[in-house]
Amino acid sequence: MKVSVESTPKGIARIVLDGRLDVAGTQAAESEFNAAVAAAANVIVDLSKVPFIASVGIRMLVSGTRTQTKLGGKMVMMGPDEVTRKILFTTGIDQLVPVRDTLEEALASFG
Amino acid sequence: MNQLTTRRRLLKGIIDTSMNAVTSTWLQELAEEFGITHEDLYRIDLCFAELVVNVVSYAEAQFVGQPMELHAAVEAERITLTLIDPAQAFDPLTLAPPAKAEKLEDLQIGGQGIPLVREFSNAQSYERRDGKNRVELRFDLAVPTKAPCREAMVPRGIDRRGGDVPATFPLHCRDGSIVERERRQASDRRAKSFLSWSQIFHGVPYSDLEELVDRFPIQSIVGGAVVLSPGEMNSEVLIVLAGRLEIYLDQPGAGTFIEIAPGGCVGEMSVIDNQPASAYVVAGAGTKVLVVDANSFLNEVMAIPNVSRNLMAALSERMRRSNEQIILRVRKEMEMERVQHELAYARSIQESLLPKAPLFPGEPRLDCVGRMITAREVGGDFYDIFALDAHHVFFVIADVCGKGLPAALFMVRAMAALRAQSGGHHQPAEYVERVMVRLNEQLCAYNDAQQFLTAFAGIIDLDTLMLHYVNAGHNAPLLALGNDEFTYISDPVNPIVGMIDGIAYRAGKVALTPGSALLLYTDGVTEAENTFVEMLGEDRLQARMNAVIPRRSESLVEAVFVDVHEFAGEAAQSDDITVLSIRVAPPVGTGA
Repeated sequence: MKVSVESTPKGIARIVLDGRLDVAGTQAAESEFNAAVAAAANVIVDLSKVPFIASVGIRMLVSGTRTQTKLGGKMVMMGPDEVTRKILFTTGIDQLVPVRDTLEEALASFG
Repeated sequence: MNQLTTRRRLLKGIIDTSMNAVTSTWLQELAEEFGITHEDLYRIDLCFAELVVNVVSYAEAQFVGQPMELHAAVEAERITLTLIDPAQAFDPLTLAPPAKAEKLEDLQIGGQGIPLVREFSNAQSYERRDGKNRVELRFDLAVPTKAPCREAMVPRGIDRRGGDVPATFPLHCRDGSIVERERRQASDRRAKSFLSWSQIFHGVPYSDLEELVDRFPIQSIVGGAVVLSPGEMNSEVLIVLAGRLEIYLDQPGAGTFIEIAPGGCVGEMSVIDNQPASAYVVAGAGTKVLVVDANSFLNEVMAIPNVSRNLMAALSERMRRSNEQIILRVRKEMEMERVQHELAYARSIQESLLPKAPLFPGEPRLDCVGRMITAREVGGDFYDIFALDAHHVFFVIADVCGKGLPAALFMVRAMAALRAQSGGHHQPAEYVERVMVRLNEQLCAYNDAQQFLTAFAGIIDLDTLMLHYVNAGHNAPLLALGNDEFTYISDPVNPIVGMIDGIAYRAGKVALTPGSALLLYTDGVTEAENTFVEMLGEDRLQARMNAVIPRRSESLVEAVFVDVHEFAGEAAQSDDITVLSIRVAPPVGTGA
C-alpha cells in the first residue's frame, strides 16, 4: 500500500493511494495518509489505483475528512471504480464527501 | 445442490487478525480456479472482509486463536460460502444499520459492514449449530464458472460398472471437505517420487511405496491457512511435497517457528498417541501435502521396514528443536518484562513533567485544575500552565498525533521548546503568536518522522482579565463568561504545528469577567468511543459542563472524566484523555 502526494493547480494536494484498502493495507497507509491530509486544507484523494476497499478503509478516508473540516478545508474523492463507487454510495459517504470521476471534475468542485 | 456439479473447497484458519489476509488470498485463488469475474470477486472479498472482521472483533477473549472455517460450494452460476466460527452465539445479520448521517460529524463508521454484506451478496442466512455460528452468503455470478480440468477425470457411471475401480473419488474427508483426485500430473509424479528421499521414507525403495502412496490424495493449501490448532483432534498425517508447514508454539505469525520442509511430516504424533494437536500448524505459500489417514498410516505405512526408525529419529529431532524454541521464548518473555518496566518508568517521568496540582495555590485570582490519563504507558497529550510574572499567566494544551513512545518523545521536545520561551509578554497578542511560530519552527526541524501536534495556547492578564490565545488546529475549548453558559470558541483557526514551517499564527482575544471559566481538552474526550462505535461528541460535553454547579475547576474536570467513563462503558480507552480547567475567581463576596 503506497501513499504519494502530488501537487495540482490552485494549491490543492492530490493524495494518490495505490493498493488495497483492506485491514492490512489500511494499517500500512494510515499514518502516512493522516499526515498527508493534515498538511493541506484542500485535498483530492485519488482512488483510481485502489482495487479494493472495505469498511476499515472507508473509516480511514472519513477520519481524514474530519481533519479537513477542522482545518477549514475540503476533501474530494476521485476516480473510484464501479464497485468502489457503489460501496461509497451504500455507506452514504458520497453524500458527505463529493466523489468525482476525473481530476478536472475534482478540481472544479473546489470552486 | 447437485452433488456431481457442486465443487467444494475449504479454508481453515483461526480467530485472529491474520484471517483477513488469508481469506482474501484464498478467495483470489478460488476466483482463478473457477473463472470468477473481477467484479464478483470484489463483492465476495468485501463481504467476507466485513464478516471476518466482525467475528474477530466481537469474539470474547477465550475464543481468540480457535479454529474457524470458510466453506465454498461452487455451482455453475452461483457460489455459496459459509463462515463457521466457535465463538459465543452472535448473529451479525441482526446488527442494526447505522442511521443515515446528515453531517460529517454524525457519520458512524462502525456498523457499516453488515449493510455492505446485504447490498453486495444475493442472499444471507445465519444459523447456530453444534455450538458454532454459521453465516452463509450466496452470490449469483455474472459468468458461469469454468470446470476445473480435474472434473473430467472423475469416472463416469459407465466406467464404474466394471466393478474394479479401486478408489472412490471425490474423497470425502472427515472434516466435511471434499478432495478431488488429480490424475497424476508430471509434477505430482515428481513430487511423489521425491518421497523416497524424504525423512520418513528414507532408505525405503520407492517401489515399496509406490502402490501405497498413490492411493493418497494430494492437497494444495493456500499460504497462511491454519491447518491445525492446539486442542484440535487430528486424524491425518500430512507429508509435505512442496512449500512448507510452519509449527508455532505460540500465536501463528508471532516470532519463530519450526519449519517442516518438503519430505517432512506433521500429525504423526497425534495419530500415534491419539492426543489433540499441541501447536499451530500454518501453511507457507504454494504448499502441497500428501494426506495419509490415521489407519493407513498406522497399519500400512508404519509397517514398512525403516519407517518406524526414521519416524523416531524425526520425532527426537523435533523434540530437540522444540526445546530450543521454548528457551528462545522464555528469553523473549524476560526481555518483554524488562521493556514493560522501562515504559512504566517512562510514564512516571512523563507525568512528573506536567505541572503539579494544586496549580497556583497561593494565587486567589485563579482556580485551575488539570488532569491527564494516558491510553498506553506513555502518551502524546500534555498541558502546561505557569506564571510569566505577577500579572500574566501562560497556558497551553496540546495533542501529538499518534500514541506511545514516538508521540511521547515529540511531546517532550514540544514542552521543552515552550518552556524555553521567555520575555516580551507585555504585548500579549504578539507574544503568544510568536511562541507558536517559534514552536512550529523548532518542531519542523529534525522532524523526519513527519510528526505534528495540535495546540491551544494563551496568556491571561490577571489585572485586565484579557485573554489572548492562539488556536493551532486544536479542539475548540469551552468558554463561559461570568455566569453565562459554556460555548465553543475557536476563531481564528490556524494550522497544526510541526508540519509546515513559516506559518504566521494569528491570535484571538476575549475579555474575561470574574467567574469566567475556560475548559480545554483533547480529542480523547470528544472522540471517546463506546461499544457501538459512537463518539461522545461536542454537544454532550457542552451539556455536561453546563450542568456542573457550582462551577469549580475541580468539579468540571471530575465531571469530564466521569462522563467519559460512563459513556465509554466496556469499550477500551483508545486515546489519551486530557483536561485543563482555568477559572477566574468570581467577584468578591459571592463565596463560590
